[in-house]
Amino acid sequence: MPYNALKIFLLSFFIVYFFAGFYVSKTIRGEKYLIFPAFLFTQVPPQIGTEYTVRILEYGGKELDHPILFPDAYKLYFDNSIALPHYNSVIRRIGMNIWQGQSGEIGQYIEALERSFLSKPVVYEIVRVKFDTIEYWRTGKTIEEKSIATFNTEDAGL
Amino acid sequence: MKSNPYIKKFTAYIYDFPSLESFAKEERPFEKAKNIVRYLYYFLALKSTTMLFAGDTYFGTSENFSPVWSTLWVNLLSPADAITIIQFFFLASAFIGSFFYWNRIARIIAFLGVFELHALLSSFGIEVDHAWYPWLFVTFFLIFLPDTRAQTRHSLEGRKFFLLVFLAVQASVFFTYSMSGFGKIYGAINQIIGGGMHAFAPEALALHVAHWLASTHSVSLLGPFIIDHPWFGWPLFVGTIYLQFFALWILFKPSLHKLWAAGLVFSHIGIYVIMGLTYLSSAPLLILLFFDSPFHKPGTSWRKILLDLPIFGSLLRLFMDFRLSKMKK
Repeated sequence: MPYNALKIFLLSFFIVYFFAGFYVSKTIRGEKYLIFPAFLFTQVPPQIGTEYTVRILEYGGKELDHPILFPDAYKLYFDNSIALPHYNSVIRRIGMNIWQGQSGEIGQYIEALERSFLSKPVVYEIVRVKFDTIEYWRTGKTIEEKSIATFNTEDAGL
Repeated sequence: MKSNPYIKKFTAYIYDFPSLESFAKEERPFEKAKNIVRYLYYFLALKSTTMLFAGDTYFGTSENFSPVWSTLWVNLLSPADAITIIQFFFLASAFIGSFFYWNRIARIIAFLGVFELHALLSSFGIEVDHAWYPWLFVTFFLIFLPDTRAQTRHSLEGRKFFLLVFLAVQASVFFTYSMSGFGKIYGAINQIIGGGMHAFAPEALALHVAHWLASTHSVSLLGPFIIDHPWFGWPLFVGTIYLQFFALWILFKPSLHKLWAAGLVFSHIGIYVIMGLTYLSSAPLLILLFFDSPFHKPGTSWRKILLDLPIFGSLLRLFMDFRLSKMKK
């Protein structure tokens, strides 16, 4: 390859990759295999924040006396070979899309989440949690918990 | 047309990278770059060996296997077999790269080893693997190196070509950081426009840490301190954004290569002690590619290093110009 052609190729690669990265950062997943925009920690959580989480109601066919919230449920009921932050981002995507009424987008994430249960059937809720960020870290106390959808792994899908 | 001296000065401040030809004329930068390339493959050989010894701990369970397009062939086997095959392929490819790094075919094989490993890691669970991206870029760009053993004496053109590819390899590492820094600044602008909390606010790091530790139920060494004393976190967070955002610019400021790479390695260590996040895959690349950068001129003064700093360097230049003009008066 001639020197100048290589120069143009290298420069074009970085420019195209930058715009491709910027484009995929706007999608629901925020990235695409082989296109990683590295947009990490781009949004500072507000003092009073909202987050989405999973609440397990029934596990392995048995109703739980005390429904358990993710991430407490992570060590008990989920495949731990997948790191907890990965679950968080998937649950967040599911929650945000349900909240915004775009449930058509979430099938793949529900599927991925349900594949990770160690035992089935499981009945769980997607919960929208409102909290004071610092207080939530200190005490785990929330301001409001609102169930926005209930799923059963036995159901045929969305 | 007479060019404006201020514009000239500003252009020199933005971009004063000597031509690659001037580096190629000397033996030292080329020899250094060649050695670093060799060590990159040696590191891969070491990494592939340690990964093999770690067994399948880096990979998920077969229930969570969801292949990306480049590992679809794994569907013909079991995920367990695929892990074994790809780990051995990665090992073999890294050793081939280490032994025959001067040969393009060997470098293509080494790239394929990293490519398949990254694909396999991205095929478990929900998210694509991020840790191996920098190595994917680096091994990809290294393919373009000219075969260094093809000639006993390397022509000026050959050395120039080699150094251009080496510069692209360095760029690929800094590029990822600049993207990350850009994302944070872009996010901050959006949040400022929206009237909310933003990355430049003193509480930004404290809120990030509290949110991260709470949502992952994890603990860290200095996280609680930063949450209780947000002002200590402010320079750390803004400093990290500064380091990340300007990384690509620093590529053309060889006097700062070592300092910047060290700063970025320390930012990873900081992220670990504050947030408990272990992301160190870029650290070996930063150390190998920039600590003894072929483009760094030995004996560069501290004055030059300070003047090359983004933002602060220009302020310093302005201050020096102001003092000089005052003295003249």
